[in-house]
Amino acid sequence: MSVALRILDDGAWLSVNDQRRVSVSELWRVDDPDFCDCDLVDFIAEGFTAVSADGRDVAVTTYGQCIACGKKGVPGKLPVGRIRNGAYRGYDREHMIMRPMSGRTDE
Amino acid sequence: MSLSLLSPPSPSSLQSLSPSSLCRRRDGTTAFTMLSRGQRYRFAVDKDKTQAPDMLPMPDRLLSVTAYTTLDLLDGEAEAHEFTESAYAVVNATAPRKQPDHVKLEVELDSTQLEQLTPHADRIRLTPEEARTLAADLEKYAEKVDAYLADES
Amino acid sequence: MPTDVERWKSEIYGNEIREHLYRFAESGWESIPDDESDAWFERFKWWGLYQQRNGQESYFMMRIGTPNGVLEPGQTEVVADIAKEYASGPAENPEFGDTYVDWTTRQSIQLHWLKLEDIPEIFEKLESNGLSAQQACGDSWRNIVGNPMAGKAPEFVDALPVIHELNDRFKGNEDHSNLPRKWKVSVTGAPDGSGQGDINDLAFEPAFKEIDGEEVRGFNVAVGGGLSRNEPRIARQIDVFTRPENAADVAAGISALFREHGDRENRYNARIKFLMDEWGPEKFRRVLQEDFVDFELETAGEDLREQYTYNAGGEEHGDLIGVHEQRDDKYYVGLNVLVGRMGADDTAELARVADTYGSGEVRISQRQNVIITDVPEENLDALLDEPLLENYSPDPHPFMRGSVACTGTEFCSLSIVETKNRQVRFARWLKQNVELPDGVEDFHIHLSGCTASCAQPQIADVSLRGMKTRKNGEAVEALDIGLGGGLGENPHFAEWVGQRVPVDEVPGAIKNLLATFEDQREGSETFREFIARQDEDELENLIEPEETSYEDPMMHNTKLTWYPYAENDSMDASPAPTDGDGNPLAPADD
Repeated sequence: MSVALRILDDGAWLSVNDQRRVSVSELWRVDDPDFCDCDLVDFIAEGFTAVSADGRDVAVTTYGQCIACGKKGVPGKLPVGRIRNGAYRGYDREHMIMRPMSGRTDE
Repeated sequence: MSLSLLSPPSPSSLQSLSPSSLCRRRDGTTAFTMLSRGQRYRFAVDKDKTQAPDMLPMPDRLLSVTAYTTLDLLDGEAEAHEFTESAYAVVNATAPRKQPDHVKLEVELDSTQLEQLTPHADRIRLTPEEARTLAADLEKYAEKVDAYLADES
Repeated sequence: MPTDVERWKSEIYGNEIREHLYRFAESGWESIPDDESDAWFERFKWWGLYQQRNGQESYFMMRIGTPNGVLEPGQTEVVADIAKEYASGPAENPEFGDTYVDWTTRQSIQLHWLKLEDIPEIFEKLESNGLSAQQACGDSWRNIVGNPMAGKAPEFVDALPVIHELNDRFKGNEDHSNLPRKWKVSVTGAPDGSGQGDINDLAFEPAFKEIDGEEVRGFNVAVGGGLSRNEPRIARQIDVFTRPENAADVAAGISALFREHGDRENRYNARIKFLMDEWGPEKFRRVLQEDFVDFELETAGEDLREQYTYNAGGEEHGDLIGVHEQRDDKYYVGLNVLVGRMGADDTAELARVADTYGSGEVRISQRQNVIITDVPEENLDALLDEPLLENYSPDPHPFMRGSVACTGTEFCSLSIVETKNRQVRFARWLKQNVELPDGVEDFHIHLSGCTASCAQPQIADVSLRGMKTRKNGEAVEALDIGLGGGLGENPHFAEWVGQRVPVDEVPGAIKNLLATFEDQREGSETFREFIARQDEDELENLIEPEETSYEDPMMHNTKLTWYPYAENDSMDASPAPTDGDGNPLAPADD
C-alpha cells in the first residue's frame, strides 16, 4: 500500500492521498536550538518546499520564522503526522513540541 | 526511479518539442521524459501509474516509528542456524510513559525484506543500572570504531 | 525528479482539459475520483478555475482574463450578471455583501464561490460575449497587461495591436500551453510606464531607434521581473529592440526559451527571473539569438524611462484616476474602487453608466480601479453627478485612492492574514484620523496576505505583508511594514523595516510615520524622496506601532476559520464540500 504525498498550490499545502492535511500559517513550537536563541522556536510555517516520509512519519520542509524573535529560515524536516495502515493521522500540532527529524538523535 | 540524460535537442527541432511526455514501454514499464534546464531527461517508473517521488511502501510494523524513535534504517541481520537474513532495522530505547519502572530496548527488522522470519519485534527490559552498563559498553565500542576509521582515512 | 505537477501536465494539459472539466461538471464535483483530485484541481487552473481554501472545498474562484483590462461594450454587464447569478456562497461578506466582482492587479476579473456544476453555463455566457477564462491561471501565458488606456490616451507607440496579436497567437497555443511556470507579459506604449513592465516576466517598453537613417518607434525588451516569495526582481534589459510588427516573433522565441530552459524539477526555482539570475542578460540574448529566433535581433534603442510617472511616488498622481483627455478629444474617467471589490449590483450600474455616457467600454487598471472611456465633453457633468461615483470616486481621498489589497484568508490558501476588509477598515480610519502633510495627495498602501505579493506590496509607499505575532501571549495577526517602494525611472523595492506589528497597531504606526514625515520633510519632497534619504537605522525608527481608536475584529487566526465572516466560523461548522445546489455532501473519510 502506498501513500501519495505532495506539496501543492505554490507551497500552501501538504496533500496526503489527495486531501489537504497541513496548511501554511500554522503556528508550531519547535525544539531547534540551531534555528534561533529562543528556548523553543515560536514558528510560523510560511511556505512548504518539500515533503518526506521516514518510516511512518510524514515531515515537511518549510520556510518560516520565529514570531518571538523574527529569525527566518528553514528548520529541519518537521514531523506533522504519521501513517498507520495506509491512513494518515495528523499529530496534534498545536499541543506538541516538534523536533526536526534530522536532529532527533542528538540528545 | 532511475535517471538518464538524453542528448540535447537540436535547435531546428525546438519549435515542435513537447516539454514532457509519458510513454509505455514494451516491457510494461512506463518512461517519463521531461525537458528541464535545456536537457531532456528520462525517468523510468515501475508501476503503470506513476508515483509521487516520496512515496514509500508501508510495511507491517509492530514497533511504531515516530519522531522520537531512537534509530531507524539501520543495517540489521537475523542469524539462525539454517539461514541469515538482512534487512533495515529499527532500534528504540524508551521507558513506559506511566509508572516507568524499567528501561525498554526494542528492535525490529523490516518485515518486507524478510523471507524466512515472520514479522516480529524483540524487546528487552533493563534496570537503570543495566541500561547504564549497556550505554557504557556502547560508548566504549563507539570510541574504538572512531579510532579505527580515523586511522583508515 | 519530475514534480507531480509536471507528470500531470504531461498526461493532460491545456485545451484538452476542457472536455474533462465539462464531464466532471455534468456528473458533479463528487465524481472526481478521490485519488485524482489533486491532479484535476491543478489542471482546472489552466481554465481559470482555482479551488478555494480549506473549509471551502468544491467552491471555485474563476479568473477572467481581459487583455490590457479592456471590457468591450456589453461585457461589463455580462460580468455583473454572472456574479449575481452564480457568485454567492454559504456566507456573506460584511463589507461587500452577497455577490461581488474583484478587479485585479493584472487587469483581470475574479469571481468567487462558483460551483463546478455551473461552469458550462458560465463559460457559455462568457464565450458568447467574447470573454474567456482560458489560461487565466496555470503554467502558461497569463493575462497580458499594459497601459489600460492604450489606443486612446497619448502613446508613444501603439501597444494595443501588439497585445491583441500576442493574445491571439499565444492563448490556446499548444506549443506554449505548458511552460515551467506562470508567464506574465506586459506591453507598454505610453511614456508614463503604466504597464508596470518592470515586474513582469517579459516586458515590452516604449523605445525608439535609428535604423537605416529612419527613426523607428518600437519596444525595448526586458526579461525576468517578478515579486513573489521574498525574491523580488526588476526585469533586466536584454539589449533587444523590436518593431511592433516583430514583437510577437520575439515573444515566441523568449517563451520557447523559457519552455526549454526553465527548471521543471523545482517549482520554487522555475520562474524565468531565476534563470536570468543564473545566466545574466548577455548569455540570455545569445541563446535567444542562436537557438530561438531565425532573424537578427536589433540592439536596444533609447527608452523613455525618465518620463515614467505611474506608481512612481513622484509629484503627479500617476494612477489614471480622475478626468483625462483621450487622443480623440473625448475623455476617460478613472474611478477609485477601494481594494478592487465592487458589489455585483454596482457593477451592473457601472455598465449602465458607461453605456449611457461613454461607449459602454470599461477598462481595468493594475491598481484595482476601473475607467469609463469615450465620454464626450458634453456628458462629463452629468456623469460626474451620477450616484455611483459617490462610492467610486474620480477624486477620492488619498488613503482611499492609494489602497490595494489582495484576496487574503477570506478565500486564498496561501495567505496568512485577512486583507481586503482590513484595508477598508484601515483606509476609513486613516481618512478620519490622519492628516497628510500639505500638498501630499498620494499615499499608496498595498496590503498583501503573504509573500506571494499579489497586491504588489514592494512598490508602495507603505507596504504591508501578512505575518503573525504574540500579543499578551496570544497569537494574533500581524503585518510586516515596508517603506519607500515605487516604480518610475528608477524602480525601488520597499525596505522591510517593521516586523510583525500587531494589526491593531498598524494604523497608529502609519499615523506616527506621517507625523514624522511632516516634521522632518525637507521642502516639498515626496514621501518616496523622504524615505530615500534615510539610512537603515533611521528607517527602523520611523516605525512606531501604537494602539489607537482603531479596533480590529479579526486579530485571531482567520486561517483557522472556514470563512472569517461566518457566524459560526469554526472549521467544523463548514458546510463544504457541497453539491451543485450548495447542499453539504457527506464528509470524506478522515
